[in-house]
Amino acid sequence: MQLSKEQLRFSWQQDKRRQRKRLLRMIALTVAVFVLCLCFRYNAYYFSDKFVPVEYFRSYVLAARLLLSRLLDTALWHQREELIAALDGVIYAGALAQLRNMLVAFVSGAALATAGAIFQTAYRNPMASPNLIGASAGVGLGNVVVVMVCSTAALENVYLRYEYCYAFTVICVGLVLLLGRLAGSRDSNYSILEMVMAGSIVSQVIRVFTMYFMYNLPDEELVLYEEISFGVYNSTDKYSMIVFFSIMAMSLLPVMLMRYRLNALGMTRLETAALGLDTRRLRTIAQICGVLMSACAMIHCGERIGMVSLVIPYIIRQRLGLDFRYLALYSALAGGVLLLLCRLITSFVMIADAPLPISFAIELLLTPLFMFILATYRRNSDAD
Amino acid sequence: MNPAYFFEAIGNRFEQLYLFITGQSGDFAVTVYQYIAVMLAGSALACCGAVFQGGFRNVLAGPSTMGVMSGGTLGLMIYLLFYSPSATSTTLQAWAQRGFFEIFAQQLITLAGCIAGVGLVLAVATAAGRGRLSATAMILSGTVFSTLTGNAAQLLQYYLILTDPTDPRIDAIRNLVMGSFVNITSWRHILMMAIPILLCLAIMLRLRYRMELFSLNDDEALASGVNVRRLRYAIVAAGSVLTAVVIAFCGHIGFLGFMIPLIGRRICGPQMAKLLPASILLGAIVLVVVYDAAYIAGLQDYINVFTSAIGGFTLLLALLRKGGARRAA
Repeated sequence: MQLSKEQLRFSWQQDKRRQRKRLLRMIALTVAVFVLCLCFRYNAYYFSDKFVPVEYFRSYVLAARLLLSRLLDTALWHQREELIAALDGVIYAGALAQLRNMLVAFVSGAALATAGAIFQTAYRNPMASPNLIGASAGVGLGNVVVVMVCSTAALENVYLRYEYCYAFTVICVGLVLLLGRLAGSRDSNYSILEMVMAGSIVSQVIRVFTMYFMYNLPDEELVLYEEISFGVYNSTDKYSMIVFFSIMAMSLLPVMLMRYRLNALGMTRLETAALGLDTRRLRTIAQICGVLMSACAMIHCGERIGMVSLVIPYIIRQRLGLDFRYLALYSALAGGVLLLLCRLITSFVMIADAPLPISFAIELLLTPLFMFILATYRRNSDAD
Repeated sequence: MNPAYFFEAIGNRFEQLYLFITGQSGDFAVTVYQYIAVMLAGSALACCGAVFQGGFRNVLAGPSTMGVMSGGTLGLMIYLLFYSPSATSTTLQAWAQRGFFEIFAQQLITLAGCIAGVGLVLAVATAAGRGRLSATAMILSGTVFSTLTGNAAQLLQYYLILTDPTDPRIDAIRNLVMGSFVNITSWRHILMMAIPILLCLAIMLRLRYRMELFSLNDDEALASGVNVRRLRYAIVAAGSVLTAVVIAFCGHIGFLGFMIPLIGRRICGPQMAKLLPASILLGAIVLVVVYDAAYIAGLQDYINVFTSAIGGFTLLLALLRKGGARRAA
């Protein structure tokens, strides 16, 4: 059957409309979850104190008005203390802290999922995710070294923490990629199985050393390290926020803007050669961005959160196909929503007077799901 | 790090050994038990590694990727949370009159956890490969599972430290994760370790001529009249028991099972008939040497650090030399 030009255009438009509708639905879900999470108080002793939409939204409106008045230099700014006092200063501070933490959590989830999508597309294999090739082990070692160096002042030294974590992450990931390339067979440029093997060996060794350092710390520093690595503590002071959002702007935004081009990563060497493309530079840029954003997210939300970058893109790739344009967008939104929801749920579970860490809740949620998908998924062609 | 310190340490050991042999001092008995346990653990892990690497034709197929270790962690956590005797409720008399289960509760529950873990990972891998074991699915699910249990152990430890920093359960978690032989304190422990390990080693040695068939395809091996799949399951069961016993009594000792067969293969070739006995002996020797080095350095509670450092380096070298996971095995 031959389609006429009108029919072709019609079906193309219909496809496009369907995609747009699906994307709109996803965005609506994200916004709904975000607004829902904005209504909850994170630290509250009683469940009746948990849900405070009216007070919190009043605080957000006041914060927006104050920001505007600061920018436009109106008189409202000079009455800020009375206004905040009228609203109850504790509630105001709590609302702003909730907003900041949620922004960090959402962007971290989005970054992790996008990094996973980049690596899975570039290596055409679900096993290539930043935490399997050594990023989370590197961040963990960096954290423990910072705690060893700075003792209990580790959280105040924002820049030092970033430096150490990034240095160790770069060393780990670089080592794994290099070993994967050296160990791979000569005919193909990279081989995923060798890389994942090298990754698992290197990260196991590094994890053992991390634990050795950890057990040699005194008790209060050990607790601090575990809080950092589980992401119990959210560092939302001014400098951390500046560093976090500038790194995300450097890595997440370019990937999102280049997502049409990054589709070329998913092709084999032969296909790109036939199209006259050279994807080497693109591949390098995408991988650097992926490592940068996932490491930054893990520094802020704990290195044990890396599971998001393995599971979310894996599910999205199965449900919605391999097109990176949609894969990146949907992964980012789904990762962010997942982190927000988990943060909301874990704030209700208190053990030993501390909320359950988000990273552990996510693992508890994702591991059975991932195993179930792995067991039931019918592969068309067995890759290995 | 004065060399004289090490010489002095070694001298002290020999002096103690002399006193023990001549019957003047009984303090050394525990150390002797621990060395027997070290040899048993080394041979068990090495045998398990050699057999798994041959059976799955992949260097990465080992106890840590197959969920044995993570299952053991889970079992120990269940023991610590629900069965651990608290110091206040135990009287001395009750302590003396403990039954078999109470004495070995920690080890038995860890053992059960190991078996459950390997069952889970293998079930997922088999379902993913539609009846055949899929190596990718095994490594993926094993890694994910081990991440989960490792983090759960760390979280439990975090809460224990928050509530009471002097809790003995913190040390139990550390001993499991870092590998130590302090749990071996009497001949009963040796007996409990030795019976299953020697039994499984005997089974493995008996089956070693048939394991040559793993170098063939499944179909080719079937043509020779041996059901390879059943053989593989038998091997997995025996190997899991071997590793599980070691984990239950001595904790995680990483990379030994990966490393020893690679060395053994360089010494006596890839034939299972020679490789398996050689690996068992080599495993015992290497772990004794490593344990001695760790003891002299004062790090006998951190065996895992030593074995991981040596083993990881060896494994990476093997990966680079042979150029590939499948060719190395």
